[in-house]
Amino acid sequence: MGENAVSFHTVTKVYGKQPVVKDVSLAVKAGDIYGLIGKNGAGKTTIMKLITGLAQPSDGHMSILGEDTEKGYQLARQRTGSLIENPYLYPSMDARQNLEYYRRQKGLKDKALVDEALRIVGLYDEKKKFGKFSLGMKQRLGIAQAILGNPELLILDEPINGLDPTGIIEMREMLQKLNREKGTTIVVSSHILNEMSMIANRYAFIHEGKLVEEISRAALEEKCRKHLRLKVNDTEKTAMLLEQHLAIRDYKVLPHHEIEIYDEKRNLNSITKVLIEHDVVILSASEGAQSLEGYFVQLIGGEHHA
Amino acid sequence: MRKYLKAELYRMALRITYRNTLFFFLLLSLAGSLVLKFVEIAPITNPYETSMTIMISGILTSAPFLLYGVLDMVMGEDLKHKTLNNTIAGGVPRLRMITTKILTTAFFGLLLAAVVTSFHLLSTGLLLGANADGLRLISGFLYSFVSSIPLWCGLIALYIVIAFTFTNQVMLGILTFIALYILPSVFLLLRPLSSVFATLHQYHPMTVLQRLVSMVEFNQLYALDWRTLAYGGIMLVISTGAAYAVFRKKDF
Repeated sequence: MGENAVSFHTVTKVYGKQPVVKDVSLAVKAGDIYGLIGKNGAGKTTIMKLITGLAQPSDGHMSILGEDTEKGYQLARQRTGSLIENPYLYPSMDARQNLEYYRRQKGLKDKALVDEALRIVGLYDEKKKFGKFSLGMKQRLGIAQAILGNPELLILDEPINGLDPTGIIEMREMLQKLNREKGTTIVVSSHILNEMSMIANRYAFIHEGKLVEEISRAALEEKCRKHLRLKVNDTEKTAMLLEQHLAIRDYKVLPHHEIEIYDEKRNLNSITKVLIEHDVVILSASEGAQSLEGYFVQLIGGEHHA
Repeated sequence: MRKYLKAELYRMALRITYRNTLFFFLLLSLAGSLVLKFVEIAPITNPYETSMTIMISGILTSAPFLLYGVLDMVMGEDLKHKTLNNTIAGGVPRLRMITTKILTTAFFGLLLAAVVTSFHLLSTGLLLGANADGLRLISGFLYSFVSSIPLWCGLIALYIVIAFTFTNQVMLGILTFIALYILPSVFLLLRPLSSVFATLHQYHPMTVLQRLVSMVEFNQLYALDWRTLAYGGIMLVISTGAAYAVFRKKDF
């Protein structure tokens, strides 16, 4: 397998005349927990459907687990587990029967894999038919089906839908454990961006079918960390004063006469005092840090509802 | 395909609807034999032969709709609850999926027919007493049964095409029933108006099966019927091709 578990090169998907994924190029590295972030209808699910073969690209090129032919995709998908949109399982069968069916379908020899998956999602002793399950239980079984046989690649669309707070924590820990211990590459989408920020190590921001930004967690944290933002009449002079008079070197000069100061030693009073003494006009000053949600909202142009 | 077929056989073996359907037909067979044994019906002089004729006609002509029922057991949940999504996402090639669905339906349809037939032969033999007139129909029935297999498989593939086109399964069931059992009579009625109706009637699957039933009843079938085999083969190729075409590029 190459460095990328999944890569898209200018992939487009059109339903009828409606393009839902437009020229998307992305790369999910092997071992990533890759978070797809976007509003409803942004194209996240379609991207996941393209990876899993539920939809076929109208244009562009994909590579999945190093495979880039139709035959190869099928082989790659046999090493992939997924939960797209909803857990689609047989309502007339119980949890164990459903997993047993998929164990046979996947050609997994070890019968204990069914029990292992059921234990992981907490449904080991459940005897009810899937049709009688609560929303949360259905979601758990959907995840069990996805992780059955320890796939190399996991595609999970809104996996925490319907889970209670404990279930959400368990899910997070389970995904992190799979990623850490088995090296499973995970592509995950979620509406709950705070949850996403706790799971993923790389993010793709999707808006209106386009990839707006692909960024690592470290880079995002760098962008979102606590700061003091000043709007001044002279950023060059301000930078010089910060360094020479206050020994502050961790700052960034932004466009529009703005400067962001990240240094731990920043203190609004001392900074403004020095700047005023040296005839720098402070037009505005604010302190803050951005969340993933805030970053996303800013990125797509101020609209809410991720 | 073996893995997927094994999984499908496992799933179908668990279906209570299938077992209930089988049980219903066994009861029907038994009830028929009991009626023939204990109720005197004037025109019937040889109850065993009558019982054989009813079974042959019943199995051959009800098979198309029965197979629709079995297909519904095989694919109904897949269509209603989108479970095929997991199979596609699991890397099972789409053409193999369709082939497996056809094979699974054919297997369980034929198994149902085989069990009901065996039970009927046994129960009528015990209750009514076998005789030469009745027994001579059995070999004809076996020939007609085997001759019809390609036709039945062709119908299964055709149902799959229709099932992916119509989403309302109840409406689909009604339409299938009308197409199988009402339409041939309509074509027959309209036959004097145009030769098109005559052709449509002649090549309707039920007309083909009815012809086989008559051949068995009149003791005219001593080998496989190549006309039915050829008809079924052509239908199987066309409808399976159509099913592949519909399913191959479908987005889910």
